[in-house]
Amino acid sequence: MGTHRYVQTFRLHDRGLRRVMGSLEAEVMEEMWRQGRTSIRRVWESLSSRRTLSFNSVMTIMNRLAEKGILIRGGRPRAHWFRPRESRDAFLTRVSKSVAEGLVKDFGDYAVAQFVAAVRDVDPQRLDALRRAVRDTKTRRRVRPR
Amino acid sequence: MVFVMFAHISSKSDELSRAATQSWLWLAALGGAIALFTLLGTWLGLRELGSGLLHYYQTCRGVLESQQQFVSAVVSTISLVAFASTGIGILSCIAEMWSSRALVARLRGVGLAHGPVLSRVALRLGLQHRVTRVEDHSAYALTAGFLHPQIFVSSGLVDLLEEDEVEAVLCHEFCHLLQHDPLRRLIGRALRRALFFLPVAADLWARHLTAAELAADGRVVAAQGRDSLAGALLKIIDSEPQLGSLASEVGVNSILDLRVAQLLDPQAHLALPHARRMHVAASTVMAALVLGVIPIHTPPSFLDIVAHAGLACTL
Repeated sequence: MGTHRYVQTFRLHDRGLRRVMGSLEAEVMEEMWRQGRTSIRRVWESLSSRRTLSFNSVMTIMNRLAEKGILIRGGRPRAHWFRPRESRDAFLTRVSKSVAEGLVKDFGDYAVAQFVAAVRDVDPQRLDALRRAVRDTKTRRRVRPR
Repeated sequence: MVFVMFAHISSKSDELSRAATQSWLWLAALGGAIALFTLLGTWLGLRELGSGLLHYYQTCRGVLESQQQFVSAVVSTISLVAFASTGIGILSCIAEMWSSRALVARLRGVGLAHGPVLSRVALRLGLQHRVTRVEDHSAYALTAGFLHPQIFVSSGLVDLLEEDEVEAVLCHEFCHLLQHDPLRRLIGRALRRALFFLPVAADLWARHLTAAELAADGRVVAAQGRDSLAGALLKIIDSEPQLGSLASEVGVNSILDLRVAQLLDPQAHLALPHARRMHVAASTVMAALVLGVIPIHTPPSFLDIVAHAGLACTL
C-alpha cells in the first residue's frame, strides 16, 4: 500500500501530519490514534467539542482515509468501525522515508560537503590493502590479552 | 568535547587546510578581478560600453556576412567574455543557493529523533544540536547550510556502521562545519563556472576540494586513529551499487582514491592536484585578452578603464 501516494504534496513549513495531509484529515487521524478502533460518531463528537464540524464532513474524510489505506474499515454498512492501519510513529517514519529517498540523489552535487561524494575512480588494489589493514588491526585487538 | 579532541591538530592537516584555503582564495581573486573589471567597465565607461555593445552587434553582423572576418571578429569581441563570466557567476550562485536551501529545508523537514546510537555519539561530541537524522535507507552524511551549517546523517548510515565509525564520520563532517565548507563550496562552484575560460580555475578547484577532504580525514585520524574512519569509508563504498563500474586503472587520483591512500599511510606525502603549467599559460593569455590588457579590441578595455580612472583622479 503506497504511503507514497500521500506525499504528492509535502508542505515543508507545516508541522507534523499537516505536512502530508489537510488540516481536517490530520485532526481526524490524531483522534483516531487517540481512540483506536472507533466509529464515525465518536470521532465527530470528540472533534465537534473543539470546533464546528458536520457529521457528514467527518464521515467523508474517514471514508476517504479508508480508501487511501490509512484507516481500516470494518463492520456492516451504517455501522462501520474504523481503526488506524499503523501507529502514528510508523506512519510518519514511512512518509519521511519516502520523501527523503532520492533527496540527496536529486541534489547530490550541490553546495554541500558529503562524506563520500562519489564512489568511482578508486584504485581497487588500494581498497583491498586498506580492507586487509583494518581487518588485521581488528584481529590483533581481539587476540591481544587484556 | 570535540573542540578538545581536535586541539591536537596534526601539522599535516594544518598544511592541507592551508592548501585548501589558498586554492580557494586564488579562485576568489581571479573571479574578483573579472567581476571588478566588469563593474568598473560598466561604471566608468558607460558611453564606451554603449559603443562597445554596438561594435559587438556590428561585428556579429559582419561575421554573418563575411566569414573571412571571423577571427578578427572573435578577437575584437572577446572582452564580452568578462561580462558573460560575471553573469554566469551571479546566476550560478543564486541557483545553487536556492537549490541548496531547498535541500536543507527538506532534510530538516524529514528529520527525526536521533535514535540511541546517534544520540550517544552526538552527545559525546557535543554536537546534539548540530546533527539531524534523516530517515533514508541510503547511507550518507553531509554538511549543509550556509550561515548555520548542520550535519545530516541518514538512518541508513547509522544502521550500517558501528558506533565508533559513526563517531568518525561525525568528526569528519564537523571539520567541514568548522570551515564553513558549504558556503565555500557555494562560492567556489559559482567561480569555477564563471571562470570557464581560464583552465587554471578547474585545477584550483580540484586542489581545494582534495585538500579539504584530506585535511578533515587527517584530523580524525590524528584524534581517533585510522581504523574507525577507514571502516566507515569502506562500508559506505561497499554499500554503493556503482561499485561494479569502478575504474580498474592503477594510479587513478580521484579524491576518494587519495583519501584511501592517506588512510593506508597517514605519514605519506600525497601530491595534491596542482595548477598545470599549460593551464596557467593559457589562462594568462586568455585573461590578458579578455581584460583588454592587449589593446586589440574596442572599448570597454582594461586600458580604457585605467585611463578613465586616471582622468577622474586628476580632474
